[in-house]
Amino acid sequence: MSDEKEKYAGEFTDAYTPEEAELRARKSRNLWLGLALAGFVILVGVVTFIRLSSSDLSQSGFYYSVDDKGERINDLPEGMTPDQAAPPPNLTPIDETRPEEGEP
Amino acid sequence: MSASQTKRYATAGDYVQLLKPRIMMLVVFTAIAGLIAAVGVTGVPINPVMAAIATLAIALGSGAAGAINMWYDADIDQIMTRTSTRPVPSGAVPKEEALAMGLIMSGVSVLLMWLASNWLAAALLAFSIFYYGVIYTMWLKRSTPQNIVIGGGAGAFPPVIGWAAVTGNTPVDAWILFAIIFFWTPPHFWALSLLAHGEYEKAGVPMLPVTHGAKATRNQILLYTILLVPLALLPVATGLGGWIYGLVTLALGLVFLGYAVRVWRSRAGDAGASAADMKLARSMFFFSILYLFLVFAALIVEHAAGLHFPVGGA
Repeated sequence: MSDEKEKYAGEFTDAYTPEEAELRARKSRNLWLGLALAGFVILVGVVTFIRLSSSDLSQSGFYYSVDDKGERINDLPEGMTPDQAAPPPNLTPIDETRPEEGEP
Repeated sequence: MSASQTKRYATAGDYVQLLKPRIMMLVVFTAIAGLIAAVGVTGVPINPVMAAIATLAIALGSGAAGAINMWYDADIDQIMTRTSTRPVPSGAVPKEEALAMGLIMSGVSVLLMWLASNWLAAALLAFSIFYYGVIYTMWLKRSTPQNIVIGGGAGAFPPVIGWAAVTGNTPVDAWILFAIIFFWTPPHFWALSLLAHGEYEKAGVPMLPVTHGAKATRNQILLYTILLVPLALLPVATGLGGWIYGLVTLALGLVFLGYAVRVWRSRAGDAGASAADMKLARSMFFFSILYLFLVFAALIVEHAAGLHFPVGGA
């Protein structure tokens, strides 16, 4: 033991050593906590997947959402006009057919 | 805390007990009834996975409220024999852990409900946790003999939350289901408190038998049961319940009323009450659980199995 350590000999108590039973209880609790956290992550993932798979994320539906029956809800953000919400001019909405050239 | 108590290490079972699993079962069951009835009445489809997650969120919310209740009531739970073996008073789970678990689970349950359904169902779930954990546990329980009556609102929310999770709104039918549980709670709980009023008195909890005596409690049990029986038939009038629901609820209501009359005529809860009188109060308590279970089961069967035949053929 160095001189420096000898100076503090007896000043500190031994580190706490948990009993076997306490260690087992801790391990079990940690396992359940880990499983609960993993379960939460999976649930959020599943919800996100279901929500996204029932949404219309195409350009034509950029500012629109779809209700439970698959019908478009035309709720625009406050202050936005339908013109502003329309898709950019170079994009064709997927659910609207552009008239062919020469057609009236 | 004694040395023997510090030697007890919490198991997963202790944490499950913290969530009050028996209450949770009834909460989940009534929530599922609200959810299925909403689908049956409105025809709004719901993704079954989302419905399962919404139900799980309600179960977690119920558990969270139970953990907060056990955290706050640890002092009086320690005094009463019936509750002294609960995880917190027995020393298995530290108080702070119970509170932390309750708060974290509250947040998780509300978030899950919002993700899986809509903000209204999430807000109702959050409010019902607050109602049980704060309004009932921290305020009403120790301050008024009406604690069970007003506090009963917390346990009445699940079918409304289930309904809101499907439709995004709460029509009259949902609030009728709320009212059934609300008026069921006092006779259910007061039947138990007739048996355990000595314990509540020891712990200083102002339950009705402690503050007004057993006779007043038996009167109130009869009064609330008289109100409950016709109220439980209201879904038949609105079309929510059909023939099966109506007949089951009427028969169960008459038996429930029979119990209430017999308890009213007995001396259950009095100092000199006979063993038969006390047994009667106990039987009424257990029948009340069966009553609520079967009433909501009838509703589920009608709407889930396509057996909903409205009275009047509407």
